[in-house]
Amino acid sequence: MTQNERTYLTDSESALEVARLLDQDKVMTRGMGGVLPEQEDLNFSSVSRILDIACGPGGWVHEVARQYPHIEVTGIDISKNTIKYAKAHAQVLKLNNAHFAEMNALKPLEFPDNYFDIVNMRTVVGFVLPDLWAGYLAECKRVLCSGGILRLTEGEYGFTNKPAHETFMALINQAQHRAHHSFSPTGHNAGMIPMLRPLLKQAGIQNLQSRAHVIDYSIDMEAHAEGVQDITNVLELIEPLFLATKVVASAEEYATLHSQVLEEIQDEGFSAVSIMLTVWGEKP
Amino acid sequence: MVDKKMNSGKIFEWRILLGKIISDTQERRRIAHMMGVNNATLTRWSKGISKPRPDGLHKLTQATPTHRQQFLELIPQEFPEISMEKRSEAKDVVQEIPVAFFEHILDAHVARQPLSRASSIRVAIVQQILSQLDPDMNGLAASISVCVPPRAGIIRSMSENLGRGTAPWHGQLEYQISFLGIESPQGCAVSQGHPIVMHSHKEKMMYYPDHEVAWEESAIACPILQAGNVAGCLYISSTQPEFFIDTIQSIVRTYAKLLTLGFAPHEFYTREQIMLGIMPANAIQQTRLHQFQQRISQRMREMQRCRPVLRPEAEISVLQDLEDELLHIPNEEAGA
Repeated sequence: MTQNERTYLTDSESALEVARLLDQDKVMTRGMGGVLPEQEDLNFSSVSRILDIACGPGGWVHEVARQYPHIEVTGIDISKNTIKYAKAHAQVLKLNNAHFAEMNALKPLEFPDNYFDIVNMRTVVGFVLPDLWAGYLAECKRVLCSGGILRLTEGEYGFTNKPAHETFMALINQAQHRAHHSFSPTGHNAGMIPMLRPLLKQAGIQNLQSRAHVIDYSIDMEAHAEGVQDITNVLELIEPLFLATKVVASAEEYATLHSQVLEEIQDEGFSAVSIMLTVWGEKP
Repeated sequence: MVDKKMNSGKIFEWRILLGKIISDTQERRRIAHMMGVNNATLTRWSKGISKPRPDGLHKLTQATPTHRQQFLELIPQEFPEISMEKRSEAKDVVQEIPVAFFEHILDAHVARQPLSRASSIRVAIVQQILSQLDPDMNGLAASISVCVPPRAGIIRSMSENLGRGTAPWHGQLEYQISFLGIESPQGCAVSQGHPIVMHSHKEKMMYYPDHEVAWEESAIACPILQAGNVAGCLYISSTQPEFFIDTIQSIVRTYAKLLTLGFAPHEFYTREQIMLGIMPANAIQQTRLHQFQQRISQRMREMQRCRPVLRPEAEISVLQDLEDELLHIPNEEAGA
């Protein structure tokens, strides 16, 4: 696969991105109250296969496989290195029911029709362009069995009381908007949260429900350390996108912002939250 | 078709047992705190009103060690599909570090910018340690302490500022700075240049009475060495006594070698430079360290009046100040 065929905003093969995703995954799962926190009434003994799309280093897959040893859990990701790393973790975790495959989620999935009981994806906005969603969800629906659950989670990030951090998050939204990666009409927001339900509805998914979660990574909160690590990594990874989309004028301007953000997030009064929304429904 | 019907009606024995345990409100608070759930959640479980997720059941067995065996036998009556077996005895740990783990660290080492290279390598190694040595999350914590760069050529202490753990340590180790001297197992390991293993809590308390770690039943301190020079120490605690058998020690030593990639050449010091002092107990330290990050920000602003300064440089300056303050705490305050 060539780089041109990819639509990722950051380099998904870099060790830095893998490190970031591993931390981000833990923060998100913990902040959301578990791997499938909203499926309280689901009888998991009737679930035999779960697919996680864009699984990254596999944190969610590992945790589901650990909690439900009778379920075969499969994670797919476009990054060869990431899949290799996810497999290595599954090996040391002795999870025989966790499987991983290198696969481009924007191409036909290499699974039969009606194969999975649950298809899950979190924060795929980074590679699914707005005009690709319809085809992408149709393919997810194809591999889902009748009555199976399609589950999407996306977020709005970095509501904060610190100026540089707020500016940085606003510039990420702007850069995504300019790179045509956003549903937001102005680029003021990430823009994905309000689209989850309509997109699933258009895909023919029924009985739609939603649940929001707040991840608080303020200075005195448990998620702060991983939040700092995540922001530190994003600051390093996203510079090429900022320069390419001209949301900053120069590398020097970016360096100044970078330094201010790093200082602010360690400040005594630093307060910040992200909001995650999970929307799920059933294939008729 | 996915079935959404929940088990209902009968109150299973594990719930009755839980009800008896949490009838003691103090015990209910303790268990809820350790599990990271509300008190009411435990009550709902005991009354059969709500259904815990598998992870919750595992945490329950970890938070109630004296009833653990009973829960392991009773819970499958209601949830036969959930594996409650303790799958990861120390002897069952995968004894080879996967090649992909080494490759990942090497990728980070060659690809990352110097500023974030060290922390990303150290975090990745700590995460790999937790995965490999505690696959079932029975309780393991790993932390890295580094030599505080000296002002006068002599290393007087180490700072511990990076840690991760599974329950019961989960979320309690990240970014809590503390200083370690010769009174600690880390300090001794670094001074002696070889690992120190403590197979039981009693054994540790005999030699390091001022370095008690809650929930710790066994531990290992392994110096991070390169050509005989030392940069810091990898410290791992387990909730299980006798956890660090020979094969586990061997894995830990390999991870300590891998950690050398998370340090720059100038961060290694000769054995002659290591002359650690005695640091006060952690509780006393924390009264002076709670504004650590604010002091760094303040120092940065002061230093930037003269020249551009990055945060790590200001952090070293503050660490040196704090080290000096802590080494010179009056005896009566230090509890000596």
